[in-house]
Amino acid sequence: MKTKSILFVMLAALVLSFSTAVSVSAQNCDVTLKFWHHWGGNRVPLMDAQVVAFQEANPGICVETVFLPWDNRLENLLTAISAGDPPDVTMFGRQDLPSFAVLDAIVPLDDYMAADGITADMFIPSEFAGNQYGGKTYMLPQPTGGALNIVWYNKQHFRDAGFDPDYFPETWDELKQYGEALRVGADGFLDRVGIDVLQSGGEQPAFLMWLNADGQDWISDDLRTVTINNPAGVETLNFMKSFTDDNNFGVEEVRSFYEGGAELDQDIFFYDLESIQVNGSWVLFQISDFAPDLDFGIAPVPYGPSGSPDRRGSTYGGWGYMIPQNAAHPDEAWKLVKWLTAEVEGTGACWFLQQQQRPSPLKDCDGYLKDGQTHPRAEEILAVAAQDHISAISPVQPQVLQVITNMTDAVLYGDKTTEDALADAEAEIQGLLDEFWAKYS
Amino acid sequence: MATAFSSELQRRSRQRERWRDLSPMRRREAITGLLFISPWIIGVLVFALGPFIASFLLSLTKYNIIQPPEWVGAANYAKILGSDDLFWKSLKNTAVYVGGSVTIRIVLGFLLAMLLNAKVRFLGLWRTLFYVPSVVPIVALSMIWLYVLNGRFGLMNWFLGVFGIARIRWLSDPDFAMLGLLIMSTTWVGVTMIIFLAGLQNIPEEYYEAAKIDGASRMQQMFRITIPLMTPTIYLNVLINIINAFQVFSQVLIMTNGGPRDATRTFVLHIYDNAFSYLPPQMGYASALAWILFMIVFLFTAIIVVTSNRWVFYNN
Repeated sequence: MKTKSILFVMLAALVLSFSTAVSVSAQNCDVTLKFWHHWGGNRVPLMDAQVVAFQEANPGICVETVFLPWDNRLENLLTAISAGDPPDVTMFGRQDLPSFAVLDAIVPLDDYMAADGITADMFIPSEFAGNQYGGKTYMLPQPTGGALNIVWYNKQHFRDAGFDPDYFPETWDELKQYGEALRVGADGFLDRVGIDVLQSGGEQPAFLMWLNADGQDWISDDLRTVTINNPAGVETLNFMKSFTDDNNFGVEEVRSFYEGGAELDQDIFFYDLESIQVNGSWVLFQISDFAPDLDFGIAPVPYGPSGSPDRRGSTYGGWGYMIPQNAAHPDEAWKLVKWLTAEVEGTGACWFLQQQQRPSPLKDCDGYLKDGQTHPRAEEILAVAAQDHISAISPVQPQVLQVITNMTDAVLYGDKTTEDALADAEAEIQGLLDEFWAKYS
Repeated sequence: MATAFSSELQRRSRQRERWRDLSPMRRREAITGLLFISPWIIGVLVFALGPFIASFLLSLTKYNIIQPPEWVGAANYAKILGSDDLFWKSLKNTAVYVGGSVTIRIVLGFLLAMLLNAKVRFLGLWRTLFYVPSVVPIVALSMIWLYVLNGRFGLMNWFLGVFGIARIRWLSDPDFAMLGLLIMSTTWVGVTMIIFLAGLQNIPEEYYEAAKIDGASRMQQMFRITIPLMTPTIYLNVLINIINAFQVFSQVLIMTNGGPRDATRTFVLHIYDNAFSYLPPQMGYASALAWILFMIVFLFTAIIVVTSNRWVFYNN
């Protein structure tokens, strides 16, 4: 009897574990696409619904959806490509595009787009630009790479500190005063952070975000010359260093303060532990879900001494969908890419972002229009995003980010002067670029 | 030398004759035996020996995974030894981790085994409690230790606070980050403890009875009987722990990602970054790093094995 019970339980577990596969194979699948994405948390059911709708709209095409962590994306993708078994469609970071394009690892989409009438002017130009390399289009954007550097601030904290909650600092000097007044802590230990200037939204390092807000591009338009060792670079690093030392009791304390924060089930901003945060447009969706009563303000990033009021945030990287070379079913894969990125009707690209209440790279899609109503804060966010400036991506970006992190840390930890750190980093990045272009130009 | 070689040839020749002389039934048995172990043999050939050889060949190439490898000879090795600052930094960090964690695990594991070899109440419970952390997945453990070592609300700082010690920024202070990882390494002391426990229970009780009759103190029993007879187990534990410690990776990736200021950048993390974090991927360079790590581990293992006859004593 006992043996039978155990067998029954094992059989039931086996049946349940294959339930997803059954739901796919129960349909008439002429082709089964392997699809990888990184939409975790409360976006998983949205992605599942979008894929189901795609299957219904495309009889005979089934989709095996695999959710993968963003941090290991390159490891997973490179391993699959080298094993000759890549996904048919994968979510992809625009910052990784130049390297993959140069290595001929992605299927160009231009012919597919022309055949189906998908044109560049359907998308916001700054969002579409990051999907091209060498004149070819390798992916289509979803969601935006802009609206990453939005200031979210706690209005109640402003009131408590005696500030007007409807005004946010315009310049770095003002921000520094606010940051100090909003910080709570004593004896070198933080209990609440005003703002941590070492963090930014998206994949962009804080140094590049502040450098952009100081009016300086970090690399030339042809992606061959790095341009960080200049007065704006010095101003930026000095601002980050002095802000961290004076307002947040130094880099060790502020980093220690945030340790474990990412492991909390909600953002540290919602725990009343931070007054101001620079982060992406997705925070609006999180506030709706996790802190609906939060009294918050939205503002652009303050600009530096060499910056200007009309250049604040940056469009940096972003995401999209692409078809790896050697994908088993590229033609069907294109249909899925089109559905995920350019489908305005039904449960397609537009719907997916509207459920999250965030801006869309598609011009014809109002990402804030949900259930027939536009989100009341939409205009504020879009006004901030309108001041975004494109921050370019080099073909050796992961290494560049590591060099910039080391450079910033060397100054923050007092190992180098600002000038030496900038000079060393610029030389190192230039070396990486020169080596790359010597081989792949 | 020639004689030895000749006698070896003769021995092998006799073995072949023996195979010919085998009865059909014995041969079938031998083939069946080989078939039974063939999954293991195939596994070793395909999943261990194959990649082992392939990684060496790749270490002599420039290989970005996507395009075919390009032969560069020993250039990767020259670059590693000549101009890769992170190689030396990660090697130094790994050496500190190996020295610290192996010492902690051997000493602590031995002491715990001694305690749990005594007749105490709830013995099974204590042994289980000390061993259980060893079977928790590394990712889950790392998340737990992120909380324990948290500078703001961590258990470790709370404990130190009881003794009036100020908060330590375990994972953001370059002076303490490696210490934090070493403290975390105590999690796996249960494995070492279990092996020591097995060794302790293998020491005949008569030795202690004879020592007591001769008037030996507890310390004399420890240093004259227990430790000498435990040297084979110590030898095994040192080997296992050294090989494992050189490959420390997952907890570093999750908890510090090599920071702050590369204070916890270990050798395998450096390999991983070159293989999977950088673009274009540098798999050839990463393979060369992996071979250097193999040679270092091999060297340490060889030293321990060769010197073992001087400090390892067997019961017989």
